[in-house]
Amino acid sequence: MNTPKPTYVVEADKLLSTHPRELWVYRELFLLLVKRDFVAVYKQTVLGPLWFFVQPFLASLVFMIVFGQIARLPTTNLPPLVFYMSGIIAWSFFSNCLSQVAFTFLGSGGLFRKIYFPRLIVPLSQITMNLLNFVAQLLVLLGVIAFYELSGKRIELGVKMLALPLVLGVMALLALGIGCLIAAATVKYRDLNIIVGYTLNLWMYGSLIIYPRSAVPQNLLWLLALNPMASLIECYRSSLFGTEHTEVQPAIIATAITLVVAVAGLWCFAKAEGTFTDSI
Amino acid sequence: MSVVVEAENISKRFFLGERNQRAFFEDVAAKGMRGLRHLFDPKDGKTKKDSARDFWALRDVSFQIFQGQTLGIIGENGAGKSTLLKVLSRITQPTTGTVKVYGRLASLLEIGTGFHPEFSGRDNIYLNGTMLGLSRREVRDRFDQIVEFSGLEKFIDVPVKNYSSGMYVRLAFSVAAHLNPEIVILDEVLAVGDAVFQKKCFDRIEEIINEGHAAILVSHGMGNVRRMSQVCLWLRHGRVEMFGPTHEVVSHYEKQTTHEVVSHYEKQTAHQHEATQREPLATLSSWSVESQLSKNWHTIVPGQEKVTFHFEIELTAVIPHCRISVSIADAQGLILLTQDCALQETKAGKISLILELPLLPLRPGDYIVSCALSDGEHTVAFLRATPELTVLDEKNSGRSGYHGVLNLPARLFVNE
Repeated sequence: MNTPKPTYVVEADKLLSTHPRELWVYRELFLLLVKRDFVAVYKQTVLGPLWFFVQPFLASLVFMIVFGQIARLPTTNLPPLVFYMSGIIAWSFFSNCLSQVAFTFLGSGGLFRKIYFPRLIVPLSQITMNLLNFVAQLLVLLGVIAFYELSGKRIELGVKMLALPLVLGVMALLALGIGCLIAAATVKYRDLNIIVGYTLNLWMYGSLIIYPRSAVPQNLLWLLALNPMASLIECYRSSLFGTEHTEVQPAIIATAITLVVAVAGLWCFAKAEGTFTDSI
Repeated sequence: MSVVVEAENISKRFFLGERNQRAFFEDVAAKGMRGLRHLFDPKDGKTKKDSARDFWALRDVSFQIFQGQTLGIIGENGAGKSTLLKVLSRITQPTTGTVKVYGRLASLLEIGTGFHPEFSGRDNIYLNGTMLGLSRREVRDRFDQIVEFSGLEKFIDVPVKNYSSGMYVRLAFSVAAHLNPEIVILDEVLAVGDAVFQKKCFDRIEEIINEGHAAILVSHGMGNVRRMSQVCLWLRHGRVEMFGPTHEVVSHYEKQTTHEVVSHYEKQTAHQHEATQREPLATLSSWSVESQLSKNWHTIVPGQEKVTFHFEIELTAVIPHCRISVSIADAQGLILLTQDCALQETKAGKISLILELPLLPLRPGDYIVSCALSDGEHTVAFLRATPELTVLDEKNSGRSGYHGVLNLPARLFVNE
């Protein structure tokens, strides 16, 4: 008699592995979770989805005054508003992804204790939600650019824009990887989660959001090389505007770091998802 | 018959201590030591000592469920039932052992988790349904049934945050009740809502069990376990105390709980009494029961004739204003009857006590018989009759199972 294949096997010391095929089975849950997160943020607010637009605008205005007018940092040949706004929306995409993924086990612990579904669905849906957010904000940015165009200032938007999804994908993967590492680590000890928000704030100052590479003194350039986000932001701006010259080498290093971090993060996540309900 | 769930040597260890600096450094130190030991003696790598804060919720639990069977899981609180269900449904990983599941399993450990308050009832049905493993299409096919079952047609487009708690649980149960999985894990506490809806829940649970290939039922009600499951797993302190046909396991379990309920009473009265007196005030030297049909000392046959109990009690001290009572309780400790009388002579010595009952219509099982002496205010002695009273199974009675406590000579017929 041939024994049929089990639908699933739970085994000690083996990863409660999330088979890619299983993620596909739960694709509809994924979509509903994206919708849930999207709706949850803007329900019972007066401005509703308008908040997408208000947030980057206000932040850009503050940056324009503080860094542009007071500190007088250069913004390449872009108008300060466009420079800051493009940086802010990309950074908030990255940092929101990272902090939300890092909070997966703590935030959804109650749900995970009761119902089984591939845990990775939750971080993936959060990243997708942020991606939608980003696209909406990008449209606003394009509106701002159009306004500048109308008032006579030329801003080049090149075919390089086609590389934008790739750059965003790498950013999302980096956020997913680091977020998963933190999520797995916070199962036992929550220290890391306390410092995530704080660290992300500091990290922004080193990621070419408020100043271009050209403003960095020679003796500090090695620091930028260590930061994958710096070169990813650069790639992102140059794919949008074609303004900044991008070297290939930092982009490759950043991608390599991202891949290593992502693999490590997903592995730790898979390792943690088996037993995290015991300690949360 | 093919196997649908196969569990082999499942153990689960929990860490009970608090996670703080000390635990962290101990963790790091232990990992380091293990690494070092592993370096010197690679074979020794796997051995890990239990620390004092480790707790084994399950220990070497093995069982199989075959197609068409319902497994009842019984045991007192903290015996490991919930942990076992969590392992079976992939919520947590066992420390040792393997579980193989053949077919789609849905576990309804708790309903309504994952509902989003801002979503309407309709959206929540989709969200919860997909979370429990249905496709959107499958939810759509069941949608009308779910809504009808919940009785919330009017409110289905209202955000659930505006639902009353009763409406909320009704919707949640309705979703859970329409998953139609092949293997279902049910917790009896699932039956929710008002009396009418609860009845509906119980009926639906039975239907689910009958529809599926196999089911696992957790329950404290032995009546339901007897009625719905064919095999039964009795867990005790994380270990399998017994696994086998339901009627055998349940009757052993009932005997055991009888012991425990009684020793709890005994402890209680002993405690009350200890403050005043050291020596036991009274002992029950012997007891017996007789009816026309059975002269056996401690058993009766269910019947409608007169039953007489005899108790021999030894009093060691004078109890002022003494009252004595006899009670019969079922295995769960529910007192079925109590009869008491005043004791005229309160001198030390032997008392012979007789309890006459015109009939004792109980269903088969074990019952706790006990005598209690009180000084008018407090119980001063609790005397338990050993062995328990056993009501035998009626042979060839032609009746299919007993539900409830009473076994009265009732007649049910259609009035024409």
